[in-house]
Amino acid sequence: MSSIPYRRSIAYGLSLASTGIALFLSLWLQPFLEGAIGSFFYIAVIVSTWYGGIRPGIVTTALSFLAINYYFTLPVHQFSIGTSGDVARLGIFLLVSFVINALNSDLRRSQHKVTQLSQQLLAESSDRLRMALTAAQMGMWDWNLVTGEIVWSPEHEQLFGLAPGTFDGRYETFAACLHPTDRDGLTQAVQVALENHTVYQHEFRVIWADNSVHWIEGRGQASYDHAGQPVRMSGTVMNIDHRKQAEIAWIQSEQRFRSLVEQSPLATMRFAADGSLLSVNPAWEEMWRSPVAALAGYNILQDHQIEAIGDLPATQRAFAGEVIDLPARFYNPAMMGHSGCARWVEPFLYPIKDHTGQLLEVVLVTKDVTDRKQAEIALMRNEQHLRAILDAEPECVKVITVDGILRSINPAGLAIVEADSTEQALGQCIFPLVDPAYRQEFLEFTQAAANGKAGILEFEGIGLKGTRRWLESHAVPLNLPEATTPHVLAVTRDVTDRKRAEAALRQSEERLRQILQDMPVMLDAFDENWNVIVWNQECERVTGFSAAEVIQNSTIMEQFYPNVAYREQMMAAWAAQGNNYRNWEWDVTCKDGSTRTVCWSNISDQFAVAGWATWGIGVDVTDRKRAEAELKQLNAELEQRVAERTAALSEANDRLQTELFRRERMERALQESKLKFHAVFDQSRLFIGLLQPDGTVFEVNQRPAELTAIVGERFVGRLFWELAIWGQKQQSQMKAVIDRALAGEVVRLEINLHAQDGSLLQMPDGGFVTHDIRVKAVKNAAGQVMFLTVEGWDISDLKQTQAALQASEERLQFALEASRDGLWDWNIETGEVYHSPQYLELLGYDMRGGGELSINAQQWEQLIHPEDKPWVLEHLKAHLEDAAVQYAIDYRVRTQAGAWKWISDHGKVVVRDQQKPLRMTGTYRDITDRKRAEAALQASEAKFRTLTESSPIGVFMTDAKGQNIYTNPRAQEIGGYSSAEALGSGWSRFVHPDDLQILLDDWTDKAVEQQISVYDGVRYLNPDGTVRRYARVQIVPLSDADGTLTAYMGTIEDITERLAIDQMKAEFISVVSHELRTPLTSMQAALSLLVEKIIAPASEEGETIIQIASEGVDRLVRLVNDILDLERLEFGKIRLEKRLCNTADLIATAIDQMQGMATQAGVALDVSSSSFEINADPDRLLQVLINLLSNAIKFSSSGSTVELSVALQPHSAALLFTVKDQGRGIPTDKLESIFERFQQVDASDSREKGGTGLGLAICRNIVQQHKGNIWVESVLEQGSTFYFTIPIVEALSNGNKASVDN
Amino acid sequence: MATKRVLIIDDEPGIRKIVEIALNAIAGWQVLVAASGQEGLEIAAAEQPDAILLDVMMPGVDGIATFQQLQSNSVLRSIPVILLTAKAQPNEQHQFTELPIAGVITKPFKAPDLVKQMQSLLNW
Repeated sequence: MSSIPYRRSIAYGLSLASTGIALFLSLWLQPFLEGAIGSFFYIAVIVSTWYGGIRPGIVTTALSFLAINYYFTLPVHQFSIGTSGDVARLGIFLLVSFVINALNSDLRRSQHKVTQLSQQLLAESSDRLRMALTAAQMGMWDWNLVTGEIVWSPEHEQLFGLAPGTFDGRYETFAACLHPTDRDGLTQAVQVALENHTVYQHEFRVIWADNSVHWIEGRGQASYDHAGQPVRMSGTVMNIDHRKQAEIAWIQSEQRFRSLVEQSPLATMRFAADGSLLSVNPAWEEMWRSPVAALAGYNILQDHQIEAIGDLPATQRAFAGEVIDLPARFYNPAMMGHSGCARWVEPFLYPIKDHTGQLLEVVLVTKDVTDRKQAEIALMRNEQHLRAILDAEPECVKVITVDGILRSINPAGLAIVEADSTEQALGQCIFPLVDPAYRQEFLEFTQAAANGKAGILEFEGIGLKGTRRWLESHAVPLNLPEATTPHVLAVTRDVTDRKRAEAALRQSEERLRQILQDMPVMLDAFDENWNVIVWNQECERVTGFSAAEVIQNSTIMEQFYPNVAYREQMMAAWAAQGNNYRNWEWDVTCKDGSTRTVCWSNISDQFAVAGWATWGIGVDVTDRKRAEAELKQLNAELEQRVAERTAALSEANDRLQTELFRRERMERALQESKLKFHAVFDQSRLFIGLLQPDGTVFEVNQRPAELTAIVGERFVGRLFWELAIWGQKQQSQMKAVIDRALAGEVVRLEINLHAQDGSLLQMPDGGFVTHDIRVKAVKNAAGQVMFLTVEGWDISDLKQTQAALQASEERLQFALEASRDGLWDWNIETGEVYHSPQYLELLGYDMRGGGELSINAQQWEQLIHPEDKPWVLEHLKAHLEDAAVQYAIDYRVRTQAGAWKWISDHGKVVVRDQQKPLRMTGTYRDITDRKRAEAALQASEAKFRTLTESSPIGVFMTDAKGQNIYTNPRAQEIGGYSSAEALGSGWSRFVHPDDLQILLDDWTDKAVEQQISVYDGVRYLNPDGTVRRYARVQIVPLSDADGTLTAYMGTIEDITERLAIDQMKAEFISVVSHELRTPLTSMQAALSLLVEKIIAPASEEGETIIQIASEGVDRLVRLVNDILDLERLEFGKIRLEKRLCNTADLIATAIDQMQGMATQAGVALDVSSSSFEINADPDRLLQVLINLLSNAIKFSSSGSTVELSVALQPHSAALLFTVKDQGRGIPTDKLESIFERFQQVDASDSREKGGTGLGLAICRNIVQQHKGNIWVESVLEQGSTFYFTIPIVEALSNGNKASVDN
Repeated sequence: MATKRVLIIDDEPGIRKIVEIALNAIAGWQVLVAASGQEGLEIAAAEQPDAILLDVMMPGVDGIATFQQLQSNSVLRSIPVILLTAKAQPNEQHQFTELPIAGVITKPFKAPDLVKQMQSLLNW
């Protein structure tokens, strides 16, 4: 502050100066400053106060006051103040100046203070900044881009390794401090910032003088001039060594971490804090065999399978910052739609946080424990299997220590031990459960097993509940790695039963041995090689060979059976039976040479107990055999004696048999004869009675019994003549009869039987019961009467028949006589034929004299007409063979005179002996008349048939009910049915239903009235329902003689044509009448006008009317002519006068006549024809030509041509005339019909042109009468061509030649 | 009193002419002519005559068909129609009896008779 005085003097100086200036100015500009004197002085005051302070201000004020006073107030140039105004002025000036002073100095003071303050602040802040920068190790720099000068703060220098204040401000120095590698980068960064007007920020290294490298971060910002060019850049630098180190360290650790992760054998996944996947390591890919790409978008927090497993909460906790270690899980990527195999994994989630605790990422390490897991699972399964096996094992399986402590036991074992539960058993010592007798052995056994020696032991055990068992234990050492004492695994079986069985077996074996030894039956056994294995005592006793000698003596069989043949036979037999046989006897040679017979039964040991092949049991039957032999002999003797005795007995027996047989036969014969007798006796229709000689009835057969039933009388025991059946009157007669019989006479009589009451017995149909009685005495050899036989035969029927026969014979006789029929009776056997007189008369024999003429069969045959004979005989034969075939035939016989007569012969076989005809009777009648009548009828019928068959009218017949029985061909033709179809009611199908109804309704009515019925217009239909023909049907009923209706006959007349014709006529009349009336109308109307003088003839209208009437007359005339022409032509009233004429002439004439009309119509006529000679009616032909030409011209338009030509038709000898026009043509459907009457293509046209509608019809008629054809061809709008042909055949046949020029 | 106008429909030119002259001369009626049913319908529709004489036998559309056409037209049906026919037999005329015509006049006719019959049938 040594400048203060300096400054003060300047301040005062300034005040003086400013005052001076102000004065000068004021004086200079006084004229302009009226009233404003002090202005410049004020300025001076301000200035001096401002720059000098208050004192200089005061100085200035005083000076100014003085100046003003001196120079500007009156009096001028004096320091006195003249006026009060000036005083005031000056006073104001002083005041104002002081105020300005004060204010200014305050201002200055405050400014000063402010400056001071701000300086202070600045100093403070720059201190602070410096401190801050120092603390932050930041330096500041300021680079003047224009001059290139750089200013650094001391810190900056320090940061760059330079002592503060040593920086020279040059860019190169700066650059030199940089690490060489970073220089370019920095330069570039700076450039970029400058170009882009962005903040410059760059990290780079600097090398200090001591060669230490430090990291610096430089920031800066440029300021730009108005042109956008950077002028200055300033910023800061900061030592970022720590940061960089930290960064590097971090990067390094990151890298280390990453490489760790990459190389880790454990599958690792890194997730961001939101769960999205950051990366996976190769190990992961290998484990899951899935490409990473497949995991795009994978978020672990959204893994459904993790959620499904139930690990989602744990995972979420990991993402919340907790370390999570999970046990093994089964994960199948397929569940999430990823490829890759499923694995067991142990996931380990490790969150990585930054220093604030914020979660950066979560690392998931999964250890593939699939193999382990699978092993575990397999092990578990095995264990389960094992457990299952052990549980199911029926034998005890246990594990015990070497001291006998039970470690594990299966359920079977529990049963043996008789423990209730595993808990009870485990931990117990099992040695006490062993029977004391075996305990020591068991202990040793267990020890041995524990030491490695497996073994088996049998012992008795006692269960906890006291049950004794035999047990068999198999023990093996069990190495349990974690066990301190050795363990033994023992499988123990309850062999109590077996033991018992063994004991029993032993016992039984012993018993068996005893038995075998002692039994009185030989027992041996052989092996396969026929070595004896077993040889019991009895064997020894019998054979003398001891067991020792026999067993394993291979030659023993030869010793037993020395006879080779015998032995071989025997052994073959054994083999054949498979060594199984019973009770075969073989002779064995004993040791002492004797032979004994043994009955052997052999069994081949099927159970193949080792070594034994065949058992044999034998019984010494030698003695028995001997005994048997003796016995046989005794038997034989006995039998012989018996046989002898039997023989004797037999003989006696036979004799007796014969006797018996004979007697039997006799009895049978007797029986038979009795039966026969009774058969006859009983069944006989004869009434047989047997009488004692005294007349008592002692036997009667059935018949009287029957009679008894009728008569009510018993016969047996009664006297014959006292029987009531004889009737009172004849009883006496019967006595006499008996007497006569006794005398030896065979008495016969007929007698009627009586009922008990005396009335005559009657037959059911009238007539009496009559018997033919025969009484006869039967005498014995001596001539004495033994008994009387009475036989009675019921002849009631016979009597009746006889009576009837007589009556009929009489009747026949009368009949024959009356009818003049002949009778014949032919005895077939003898061939005789009886012919009645009438027959013979018939044949012309004169029998008036009576007598009979017998003609035998042969002769009768000869009388038959040779034509008729064959079939007469055939008929006869047929009837003879079969009575059902009737014999009734008509044939001719020759009269005596030689003429032929027709007879009708009827006959019947009346007597047959079974099938054989014996007798035939018949009648015959002269039927000549009848035959004649028949012939006449037949002829008449034939006539009728011919008539009807060929009738042009249909004829039919029906029966009384209306069922058709006959139709003639014409009727069939009309109706369209065949004869068969019409029969019955078949015909009705062909009639129109409506007409049929009328017919049927009427029929029945008319039948009653017996009148002819006529039905007109009956329609017969075709099968398709259309009308076939119209008919007029007349029906007449036919009755027989009594007036009963027998049939109907009818006629069917085809009226179709007639109806058609009628219809055509009606149409024609209708049309013609119209055609006639039309011109008449105009004529009458016209004339009426004139006649009534309504119109004057001379007037214009009158002329018109007259013209119309005249035209009408013409038309009428033409019409009438044409009609008449046509009718005359049709009815043949006009005969064509055919003569030879020339076609050329005709044509020329026609052209001539039509030329006028043609010219008028403007139509050209063109003719091309040749000259032919034909036979025709020239006038008529001309008429045709003119007609056709006329039509052609009428229908042609002006300027067209009509062509007319004649030519010879190649294939049919005819001339073809052609008239061709170019008119409107004719529609196809009218080409035929225009030739009909009154048919015009368009009626009005032709009428307008004066046509009648009949022209073409007339043409056709004429042409057809010439045997030609007329037709038309036409194309609409183009024209029509009319053709007609006239044959010239007639010309040739008439000998006229047709000249042909082409 | 307005002149009566009669339309005659007939295919015969002679008849048309005569009738025209006759009706004109005798009764002073104005006559319209048509040569076919078709033409007749057109003229009737256009001119609305007071009566129509209609020939029955015409080629193409005959009188009966023309009559039915007239009937089907609501305007034309009110015009009285007299049929002209050559059929004089009752059995031929029975088909006319069912039609709502004013009357039937048979051909041929004398001109005065025609007028008289018309006057009677039409009440003119």
